[in-house]
Amino acid sequence: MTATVAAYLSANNQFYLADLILIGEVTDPNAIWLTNWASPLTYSLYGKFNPAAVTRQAISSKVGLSAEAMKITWTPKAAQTFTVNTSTDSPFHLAQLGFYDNWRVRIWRTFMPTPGDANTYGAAAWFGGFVSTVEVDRDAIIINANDYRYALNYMVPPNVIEVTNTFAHFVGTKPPKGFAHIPQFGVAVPSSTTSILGDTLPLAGFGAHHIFGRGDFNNPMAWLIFNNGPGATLAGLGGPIGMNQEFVGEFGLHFNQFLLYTPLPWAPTPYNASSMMGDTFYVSAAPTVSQADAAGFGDPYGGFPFVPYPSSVP
Amino acid sequence: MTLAIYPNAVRGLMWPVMKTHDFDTVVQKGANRSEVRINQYLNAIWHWTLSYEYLKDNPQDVIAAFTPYTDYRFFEGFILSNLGQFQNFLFDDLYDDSLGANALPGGTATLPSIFHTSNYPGWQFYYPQGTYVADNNAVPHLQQVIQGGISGTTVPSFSTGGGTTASGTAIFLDTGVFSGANAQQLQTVSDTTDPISAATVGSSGGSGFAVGDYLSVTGGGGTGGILAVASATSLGVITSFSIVAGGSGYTTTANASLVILSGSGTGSPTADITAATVYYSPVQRNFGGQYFEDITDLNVTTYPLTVWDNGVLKTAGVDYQLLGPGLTIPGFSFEGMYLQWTAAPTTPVTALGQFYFRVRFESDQQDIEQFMQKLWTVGGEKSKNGAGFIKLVTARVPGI
Repeated sequence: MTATVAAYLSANNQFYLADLILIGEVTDPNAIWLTNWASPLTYSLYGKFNPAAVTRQAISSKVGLSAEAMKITWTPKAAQTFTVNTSTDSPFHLAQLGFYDNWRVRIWRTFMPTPGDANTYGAAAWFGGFVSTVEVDRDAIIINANDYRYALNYMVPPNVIEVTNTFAHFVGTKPPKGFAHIPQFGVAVPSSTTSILGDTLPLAGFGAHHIFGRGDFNNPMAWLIFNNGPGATLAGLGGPIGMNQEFVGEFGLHFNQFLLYTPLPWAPTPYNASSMMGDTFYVSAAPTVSQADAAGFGDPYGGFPFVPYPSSVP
Repeated sequence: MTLAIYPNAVRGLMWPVMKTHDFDTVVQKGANRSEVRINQYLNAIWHWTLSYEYLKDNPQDVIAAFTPYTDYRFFEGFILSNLGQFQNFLFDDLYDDSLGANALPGGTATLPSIFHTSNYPGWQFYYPQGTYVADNNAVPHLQQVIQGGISGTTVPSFSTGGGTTASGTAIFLDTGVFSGANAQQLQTVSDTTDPISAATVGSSGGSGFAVGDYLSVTGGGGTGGILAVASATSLGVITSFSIVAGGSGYTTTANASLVILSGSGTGSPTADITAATVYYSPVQRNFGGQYFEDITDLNVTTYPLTVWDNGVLKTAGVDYQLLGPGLTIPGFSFEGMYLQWTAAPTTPVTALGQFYFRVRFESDQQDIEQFMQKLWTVGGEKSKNGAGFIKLVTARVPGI
C-alpha cells in the first residue's frame, strides 16, 4: 500500500471497495477474471475484471508460516453448455474434470477514489496461492485454495530422501532418457481415452517417427499433457502414464503408445500433419526419486541418499 | 436471448404504485457512533410494488394484445413463464422511461416530452395545449400541442413540414427540427493511455496458429497489448486479429512485433496496429439533473436512440458504435450501454431515447385472489387473504 493510499484511507470514512480475483495466469485465454463490483473494472497492471456472482471467505492475517486456506464461491452465468473442447466448455464441466486444479489464485482489493476507478490507487494484494480442491455444487463452483506458504508445509529432510523424495530433479518437465528436449507428439489413430498413440512431431533432437523404449520415460508416473493449437480439444488436460511401448498399427505403421492411469473425459482428436489440425501432446519423464532411478537414467542424483539409523547398523 | 416485456396493458392496475431504491451500503459503527461506510454499487436496485384492483377473466371481454386469452390468464401465464424469480424480463415504467425528455406530457420547448400512446384504460396520456413533444422521426422535430387531448392508441407519423398531426383527441403542430442541444447531456470519457484500437496482419502471418491463440504486442512502443487470432487459413497462417487487451502507450505502427503467448503457432507474425485515444459516452439517464444511472436496455420500439454532438445530429455506425452493456477503461467503469466514437467528439454529447428497466419478480410466490366469478384481484378492495402485491426488483446484467 502506498503512502498516498494510506493517506486516503486515513482521511476518509466513505469508501468504494471491490475485490479483483484472477484464477489462472494473465496470458492464459482460459483464465478467470472476476470482480464483485457491478460493472467491469480495469486494473491496468493486470487487465479487465468482469462482474460475477462471486464471494470469498474472510482472510486472516497472523505471524508464522502456517498456510492459509481461501474459499471462493463462484456461480458462472447460466446457459453454458457442456462441450468436448476445453476452450468452449462450461466452467462447471471444467471444474468437474479437474481442469482448474493447481491453478494460481490471486485476489486484490482495490480502493477506488471514484466509483469504477480501479487504477488511480490501484489495488493491494489480498491473497495468493494455488487451487487445492474444487467442489461443484448445483449452483456454484467452490474453489478452495492454499496460499503460497503451503509449499513450505513439507517436513524436511525426509521428503527429499530416496523413495520419499518428491522434489529431487523436479524441473517441471524432464526429457526422456538420452535426450535434451521434451518430445512433442501428434495423436494417431486409434487412440482412446486411456490408450494414446503418438507420432513424434519433427522437432530438434528427434527424428521423424521416433519410437521410445520402455525405460525412456522412467515409468510409472511419467506424465502427458495435451497442447493448445488448431483443432485441439483436450488442451490443458492429461494425466500420469502407467506404461509406454511401441504399437504397430494398421498397415504396419509404428507409433508410441502411452497407457494412462485415469481415462480422459473424451478421446483425443487425431492429428493431421498436412492441415496441422488436431490434438498434440508432450510427455515428460518421471523425476528420478531414488539413486537407483537416477543411475538407471544416467542422471546425477539430486536428492539426499538414505542414511540408515545408527542403531540398526551392525 | 430476447427478454420478455412486462404486460403493461393488463387492466386493473391501481394507485399507489410504490417505487423503492436500495444501495446496500455497509455501515460499521463504533460505540461513539463514529462510522465507516462502504458503497457497494452505483446503480440503484429498484423495487416496484404493484397492485391490481381487478383482473378480468371473462372470455367475452379480451383485448387485442392478449386475444384469445383473458387479462388474468395472460398475466398469470407471464408470471409462470418467468418461473418466479428465475428469469429476467424488461419493464417499461411508463412514468420513468425517457432519456433526454420528460416521460410525462407537459414538456416545454426546451425540455419537451416524449410521445406515449394511450392504449388502455389506466394508461392514458393527456397532452395539455401549449406543451411540446419531441417526436420519433429520424431527425426529431418539436411538435407543439395546439389542441389538448388524450393521445391515440398508435404512434402517428408526425408531420415534418410544418403541418399538423392528430393522435386521439390531441393535435400537434410541427414547429421545426428539435435542437439536439436541448436533449440530455451524456458524459464523455476517454482512454488516454493510447491503447491499440485496431490491428491487422502485417507482413507475416506465421503458421500453425488457431483461432483464439494469444499474442502479445511487443512492438509499437507500448505494453500490455494482447491480440487474439480471429481467423487463420487451414495451415494456420493468421488472417485477422481481435483485440483482447488494448494495453497502453502504443503508437500507430506497421509490422509491430508480436510474441506468441498461447497455442503452437510458429514464425514471426507481425501486426499493423493503430493506437490513439478512444472516446466513449456511456448511455445514462440523469435523474433530476443530479444522478447518472446506467441504462442497460434501450427501448427502440417508438424512439430509436438519437445522438447529437454539440447540437449536430450524429449517425450510428458512422460517427459512433452503440456497444455494451458494460464498459471499463482505466479510471472508469459503467454497467450499461455506451457509445464508442470514431473520432473525438466536440461535446457536449446529448441524446434522446427510451429505455427499459431489467427486472425479475422478487418472489417465487404470487397471491392472486378470485373474489367473484371471472374476476381476480391482487391487493384490491375485495382482497382478503392474499399478499396484495406484485413485486419487481432490478436484475443486473449477467456477468461471467
